[in-house]
Amino acid sequence: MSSRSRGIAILELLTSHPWGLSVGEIAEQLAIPAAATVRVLSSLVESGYVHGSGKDGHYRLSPKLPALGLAFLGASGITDLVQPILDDLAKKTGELVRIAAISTDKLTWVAKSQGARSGLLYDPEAAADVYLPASANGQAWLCCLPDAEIRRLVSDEEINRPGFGSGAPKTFADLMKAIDIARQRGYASVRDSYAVGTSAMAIPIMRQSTRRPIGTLSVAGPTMRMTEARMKEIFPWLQSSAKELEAASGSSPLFAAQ
Amino acid sequence: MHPPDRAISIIEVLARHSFGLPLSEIADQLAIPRSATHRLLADLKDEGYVRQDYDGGAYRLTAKLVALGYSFLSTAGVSSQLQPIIDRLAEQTGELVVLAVVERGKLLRLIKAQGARGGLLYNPDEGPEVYLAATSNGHAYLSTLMEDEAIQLVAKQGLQTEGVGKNAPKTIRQLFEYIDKARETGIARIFDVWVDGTSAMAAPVLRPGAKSAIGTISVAGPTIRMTHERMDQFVDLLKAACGKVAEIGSGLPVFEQA
Repeated sequence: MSSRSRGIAILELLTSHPWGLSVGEIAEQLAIPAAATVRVLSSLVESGYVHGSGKDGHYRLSPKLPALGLAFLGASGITDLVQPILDDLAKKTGELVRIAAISTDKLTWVAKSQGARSGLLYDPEAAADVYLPASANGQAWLCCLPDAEIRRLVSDEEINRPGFGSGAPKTFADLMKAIDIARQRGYASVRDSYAVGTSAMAIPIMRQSTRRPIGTLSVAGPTMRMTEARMKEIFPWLQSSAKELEAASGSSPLFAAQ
Repeated sequence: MHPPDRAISIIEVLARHSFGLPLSEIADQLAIPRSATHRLLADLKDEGYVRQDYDGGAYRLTAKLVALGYSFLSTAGVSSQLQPIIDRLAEQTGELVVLAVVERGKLLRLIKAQGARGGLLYNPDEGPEVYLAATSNGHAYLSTLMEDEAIQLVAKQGLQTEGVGKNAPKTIRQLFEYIDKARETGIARIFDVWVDGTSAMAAPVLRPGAKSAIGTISVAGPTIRMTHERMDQFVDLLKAACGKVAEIGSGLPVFEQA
């Protein structure tokens, strides 16, 4: 049994029960003795995080916890929060991690972290905008859109732009096939597409209130390392980093008004 | 008296210091022995609330606190029902919009949305609790209270003369000039009161069928944009947003129940 804080455990539990729980329910779910549960709850009520038992005998969260989170978010600014998340993922994967933000009809590179220390590493000179059809980031965004919208963003002339790898989609049908696969699998991936010899995977970052995409998060590296098996390994890490980014992007001008 | 949960106290301290603090300073601020502080921080690190840039370096919060707050707002229906109202007002005004909720005589910032797309934008570094005497949200809330009650709440926070704007009220009498005006017009307006160079307007969110406030909404921006004339244009939008939040939100668990 770890010495983890019972106060935090109770706050976490109440987070998913906005209308509250009874002492008995809390004690049972967290396997804490009832007497101890009452003690911790009283302290949480006193410090203002929890509303004391109402008419129904339930304890529920007050707005103090989200307000504290919002205050921290405002103070730290998006870059201070985002960079450590990217750095963590880069360290875990040992590859290049990047995020791109959606602004109207474009996807723009915003920040990156290089996880490969030496030897073969992929660190492209980033153009400002992401070329959608050939990149994992672009495809991850397109995955969230209805077909007509994809059509609008990626015209026939846009497909098969010169200067991209052999794995880049040559026709609109190629692109839609890649997107279908990505939708089924949960992440977009490209191989020898955006740059020859490199492969990448990406997922969208969603605005929590609207569940609409505000950006994308990718991991990219040399194709010889970024195999399909490796991507499957990376996928859950990518998901948890994206979730952290979603939280951190709450009120940021970086992902403004999407 | 129940002693506050130490792990939560550490999170609170770190939320106020977004650039992180060394172990010794956390221990001193909370008057906890260093060895115990070290154990608590190790647990918080394991649980993902805290990170350390390098061994022996400063400790700082991750985005998990923010994520926890958001997950509560999301299960409580705030993200899906209230955030869009705030987002829309931010989009319409192109400025920073904040929804604060009344919680046991305090006003806590719950959600915000940045409407400014770039250029000069106002994104203040503020704690979770609204300082009532020198903010538009504070004035809007105070304007709904009886005079005695308003004075009591202001006295509890003290009348700050430092760290506020040049037009901040220096006496209770000056404060009531602002509050009386807010009560007359239904809108609190401040210029160079909270932060020099910024101005803001706010209105109370009233419980349906009652005169008591359950929250406030503010629109804030650089004074060069947020002029009296521009505020005039926002009055109806702001009042409409307050009305909607009252109608949809008053049943949500983030508001004090009648």
